[in-house]
This record gives sequence, structure tokens and C-alpha cells, in this order.
Amino acid sequence: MPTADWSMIGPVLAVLAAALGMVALDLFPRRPWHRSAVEWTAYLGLIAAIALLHGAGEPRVGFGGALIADPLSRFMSLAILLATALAVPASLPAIAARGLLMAEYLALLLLSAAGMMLLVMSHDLITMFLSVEVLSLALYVLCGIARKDARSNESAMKYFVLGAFATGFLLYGMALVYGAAGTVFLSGMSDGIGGTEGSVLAVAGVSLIVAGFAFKLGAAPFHMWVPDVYEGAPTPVTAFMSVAVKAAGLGALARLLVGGMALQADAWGPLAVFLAALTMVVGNLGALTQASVKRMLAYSSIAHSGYALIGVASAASPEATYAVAGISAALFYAAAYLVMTLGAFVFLMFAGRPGQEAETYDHLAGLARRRPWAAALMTVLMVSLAGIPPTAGFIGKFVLFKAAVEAGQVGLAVIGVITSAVGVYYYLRVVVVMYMHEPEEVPGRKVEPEAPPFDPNLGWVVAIGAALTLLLGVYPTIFLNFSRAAASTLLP
Amino acid sequence: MYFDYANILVYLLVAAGFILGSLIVGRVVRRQRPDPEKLATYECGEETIGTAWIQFNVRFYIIALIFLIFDVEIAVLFPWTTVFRQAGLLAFIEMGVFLAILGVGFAYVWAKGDLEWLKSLGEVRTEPSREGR
Amino acid sequence: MIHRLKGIGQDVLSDPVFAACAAVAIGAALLMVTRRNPVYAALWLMQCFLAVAVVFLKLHAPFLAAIHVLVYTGAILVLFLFVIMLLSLQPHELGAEHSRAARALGALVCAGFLAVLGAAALHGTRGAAPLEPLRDVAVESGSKTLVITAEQWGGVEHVGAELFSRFVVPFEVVSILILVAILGAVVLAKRKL
Repeated sequence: MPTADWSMIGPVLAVLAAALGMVALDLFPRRPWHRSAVEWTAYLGLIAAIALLHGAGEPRVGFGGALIADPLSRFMSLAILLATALAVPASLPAIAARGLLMAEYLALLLLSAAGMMLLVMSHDLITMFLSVEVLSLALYVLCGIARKDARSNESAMKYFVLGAFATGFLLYGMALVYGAAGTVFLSGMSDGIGGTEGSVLAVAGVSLIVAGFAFKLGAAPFHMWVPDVYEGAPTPVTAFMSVAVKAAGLGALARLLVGGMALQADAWGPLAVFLAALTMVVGNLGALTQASVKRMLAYSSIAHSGYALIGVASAASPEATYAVAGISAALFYAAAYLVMTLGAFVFLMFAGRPGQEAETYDHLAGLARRRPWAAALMTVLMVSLAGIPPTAGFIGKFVLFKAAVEAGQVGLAVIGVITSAVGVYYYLRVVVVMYMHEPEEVPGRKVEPEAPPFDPNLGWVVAIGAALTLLLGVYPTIFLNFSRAAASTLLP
Repeated sequence: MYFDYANILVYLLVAAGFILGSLIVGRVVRRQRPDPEKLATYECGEETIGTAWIQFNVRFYIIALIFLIFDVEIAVLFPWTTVFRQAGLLAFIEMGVFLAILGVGFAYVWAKGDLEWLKSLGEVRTEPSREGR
Repeated sequence: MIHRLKGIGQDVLSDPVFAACAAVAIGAALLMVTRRNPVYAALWLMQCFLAVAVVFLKLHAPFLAAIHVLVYTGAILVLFLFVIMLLSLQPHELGAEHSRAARALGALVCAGFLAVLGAAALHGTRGAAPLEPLRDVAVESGSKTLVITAEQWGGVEHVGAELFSRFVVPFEVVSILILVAILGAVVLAKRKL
């Protein structure tokens, strides 16, 4: 084996070891401490992974060219680990309330996270594809892990069938690109393909790969599955997959397109522009009409994929500085999106009671009076999702639109601004409902004026999400530097 | 390394020819004296009832799936055996890691009782009565 | 070497065996998705797999061809049949059986396909024009270097040498993928929770 650089994959190994440890713990007869042992194995693995996520900024390719450790992989791994570390405590109340298989649930969560980390590290098409499969397969199962819930089953089924279809696109695209390039390794892929002129193989391959990733990112016109899957899946799973898959997918897409196919930008650039524009419009318009907050957040996550894709579209610019700015903005946006959306989904559990989550706007009516802190945290998250300063969402959109205008994608920036204005309506509607509406008597659901019992862990997760949202909004410089470093080492 | 594919063709033709030939010879040589007993679907044993299109037990599926998983494992084990002598310890460790991860999965299936056919059968039998109550 | 594989499939397109197998694969795939009876669909899928296996042979991947037949045509198709049997289909959903004429046509097509393969096998395995000349390849594995001769190209040794040196990460990721599949199968298909 050439260059076995173990420090490169330390974080992945830690997460994998924790997942295997949890499965192994499940083999032994149940003891009273079983549940907490499983829980702490997960935390230990994640803490070890974050601790191992260090190293100099120089990109290192190892394991025969299959993996790369660079600022991009570290940035995205950190985001994925953060999402996982927040998803674990957010999941525990749902596991207890709905009687889910705890060890399997957490093991699959960690295995999915390991797949995502491998995805952002993968430096050849085969590893990339297998990582996508590991993360997707684990998520299909997690969506349907609430076996007795018909909506959970529906969610898993839809996600699996459509996901398998998208996998077909991805794999076929990779096969065609391999045929055109003569190599599966990203280094030398762009030169191997040469120009896109006359190369039907390369153009078709790149298009299919972009379509496959667009599905994973939930970008229109491959977004059909998102509302149903996100709504039906257990909420902590939704919170995890809505943010972590997008971070990982975006990282891999950026590496593949900008790092591996820089010369073919004229093939994927227009595609990214089209996807970004359509996704922003479809996501925001869809979110407008939703009665369920969870569904609204699902459409919102489609819309935010569109915003992040602006960065990818801008990166098609032949000017290296603009390409770096575009990818850097997309990465920063993925991080901002991660903290705010994860917090918002977990808030739905926090605002409800165990086993009964807040779903419609009516459920949130008058929440500010009953739970002032919860309402305040959600307000921060909603303001950020709407893109209002001083939050992460504002800075993220600002750098994205700036990068788009500089790269000559003025149209995308204009669409982005207009759709953001539309978004303000439905995000702030949540705030208005929480603060200004009286709790109504909803048929079939009793609204009690007293504070219902809730899990303090959920509150901490929401609070961390809101705090990070503000941190990224007020002190964005450190993170912007990090994302810029990640983007600039990406370019060949 | 290349197979001689003509050999395979010849082999296939001989195999097909052998079966066809023996059937034809049998048809020519044997006497034809049909009677109802002989024409029954099974000369000994039970007559079939209903169609074969019944719903199979989901356990078949789990067993088949687990078989498939280990089938894939064998598919990668095979090339390993050919290079193991030259590649030495490293390939051995690589395969060890692979098998260890699969071993966890296998132990999991085993511990969860998905390989125990008889025990699950008992569960199936008691189920209708429980639902009926 | 992977980097030298570019263009290896270029002249395979004019090869009659490739053309026949590609046509059969595409035709079988189309028939598979249009069949009403799922068992027929599964059998067409099998036909498609077999044709693809021959395409692998033409692309200098004999080991892959053999594994493809074993795993896909063997194991995965059996799994599909189990799923079909789980459906509990009603007779009216299955459609009519094939007519005599259709059976005769099927036999004819099979015979033609066999003739093409047979002719190819008798006329040499590599097709009329040799593909890109296969060279000896050195695969580094640990401290040692394995030499894969042109004869061994795409065979078990070649796959093994590459799998345990350069492609060791994908190889290990496969084991994780399989573990996820095992967990998922048990979690989702378990009778009792």
C-alpha cells in the first residue's frame, strides 16, 4: 500500500470504531447501564474524531490516491461532526418516546457520518461513490426506523426508491467520466478528459454526476422527494440529514467539479446556474403555502440548496479568484445553514412534548408566553434563515451574492435577493405566530396553557444552534478565512 | 490467464446434447402406457392445492439478503487468495479488517436471532392467536 | 495501469459480439421494465445480466464477468424472486402466458445469439482486431512489486493486486457498506421490535 497516512483518516476511524463498538455492545445481554454505555460510546467517538481533526493546512493525498486531507475535508468534516454531535442528544428523547432501537439508531447515525466524512475526503470516483452509498443506505434505514409509523415507512420507501434512481445517475455519470478521462483519480482527471468540445462522453458524464448530486442536495428539479421524506422521517433524523448530507454533498461536488473538472467548467457551469435558479424559486414558492412548519422547513432546505449552488455556479468562472470566492461562499453558507436548520428542526421537538412534536403553525401559537426562551431561540434561527443581520444567514447570503456578482452571475444574485425577500414572509410568520397569536383550541389536540414537559437536552441543542448562528453572524471572519483556505487549496 | 472460450462453448453443447440425447433416446425406447395414476402430478405424495403464488415469509428474504452479503464477501476473498502469498502481511491485515467489520455484522445478526429458523417459527405460530384476542 | 486504459473500448464498438450483447442487454432491459408479470421481468433481468457479463469479457475483465454471473445472476436475482414472492400477487395481475408463436420466436432469438457467441468463441476470443495491446503492469504492494503480465490482465491476480494495493480504501469502505446493509436489513425486516 502506498503512503498509509493514518493521521489522515483518524477522525473517520474514531467514528467507525464508536459505531462498531455500539453494535458490539448490543450483542451482550442487557445490563442497566446499557443505554448510557451506548450513548457515551457515541459521544466518545465524536469527541475523539473532533480531537483528531487537526493537522497542517497542506493538502495530503494518501492511500494510493484514494483519499485527500485538505482544508476542505477538514472544514466539512468539522461541520458533519458538529451536526452528528448535536443530532445524538437530539435523538435520545425521540428514541425513548417512540421506542426505537437505540444502538442500531446511533450506530447507523455514526456510520452515515463516517460515510459523509469519507465522501468529502475521497479523491477518486470509486471511493466517492461508495461513500455516497454508505451515507445514503444508513439514512434510508434511519428514515424508516420508526417501524410502527406509517409516515416513517413512506419516507424511507420514497427516499430509497428515488435515491436508488439518483445513484444510478451518479454511477453512470462516473462511468462515462472514467471512460472519457481514462482515470478514476481526481488528480489528472481534468487533463485526461481534455476539452469538452466534441466529447459527448465527458459532457454526458458530468451532467449525470451533477444530476446525481443535485438529488442528494435536494436541488430542483430533483427535489420531489424532500418534503415527504423530511416530513415523514423522525425529526432528529430529518435534522441530521437535512444539514449533514448537504454539507457532505456540497463538499464532494465542489471537489469533483472545481478540483477534478476545472477544464470542463463550460459543461457544468450552465447546469449549476440552471439548478441554482430553479431551486431557489421552487423551494421558496413551495415553502410559502405550507401549513406544517416541518414541511415548510423542508422546502426551505430546498431553497437553501439553491443558494449554496450559486457558489458552485460562480466557481465555473475561468478567473481563479472568482472561483475561490464562489466555493468559499458556498462552504461558509453550508456551515451557516447547518447550524440554523439543525436548530430549527430540533426546535420542533423542543416546542412540543415527548412523542408529540409541534407541527403546524397553530401548535406554536402563543409559545412566547409559555416558553419565552424557546421562542427567543427560534426567533434567532428564523431571522437567520430569512437572511436578516446580524446572523449567519445574512453573512452567508451576502458573501454568496457578492461572489456571484463578481463572477458575472448577476442574474443568479438577483433571483437570490428576490427569493430571499419571499422567504422573509414565511420565516417571520413563525415568529409572528409565536409572539402575537393566542393559542387556539385546535380540533383533536388540546393546547394546555402550562408549560408541557420537555427535554432540557433538546433545549441545549437549539441553544447551541442559535448561539453558533449569532457567532457566525457577528464574528464571521475566522470562519470565512477557514472556508477561503478550503476553497483556495481546492483549485488545481 | 485467458480462458479458452471455445472450450466453454463445447462444454455447453456437450451438456445440452447429453440431456437432449438421453431424453430423445428415452422417448424412442420406452413403452407408452399411460394410466391416471401415472399421469398424476406426483405419483407419490400430495396433490398441490391452490396456486404457487402465495406470499412467502419475510424470513426467506432476510436469509437471502444475508446470503447475498456473504456472497459478495466471497467474491472479494477470492482475488485475495491469489495475491496473498506475494503481498504478504499487508494484504493479510487488510483482509483481516474487512472480515472483522463483517464479523461484527454477522455476530449482530446471530445475536438478534435472525438465523434461528425454529425459534422464529414458534413466534409465527403464536401470532394469529395473539391478534385474535 | 488505469491511466493507460483510455480508449480501450474504442474499437470494441465494431465487434460483432459486443454489438450482439449490447443489443440483447438493452432489449432485455426494455422488456424487463415493460413486463406485467414480475417473474418474467426478473428473467429478462437475468438475460440482461448475462449479456452484460459477456460485455465484461470483451473489455478484458474475465474475473468481473465471472463474479457478475455469480453475484448478480445468481444471488441478487434470487433475492428479487423472493421479493416477488413476498408480493402475494393475484392471477389477474400476472397476465397471460406466452403464445406458441412467441415461444418459437424466443427460441429463434436464443439460437441466433448462441450462434454469434459460438462463432466468436471459435474464431478467437479477442474479436477480429486486437484491442489496445496489453502490456505488463507492475503493481506495488507493500514492499513488493507484483508483475501482471498481459495474459493475466483483468484476471483474478490482477484484480487482487489492484484491490489490495491502490484500491484498498474502496475495498474497506465496501465492508462498511455491507455492515450498514446488514444492520438495515435486520432493523427494517425484523418481525418483532
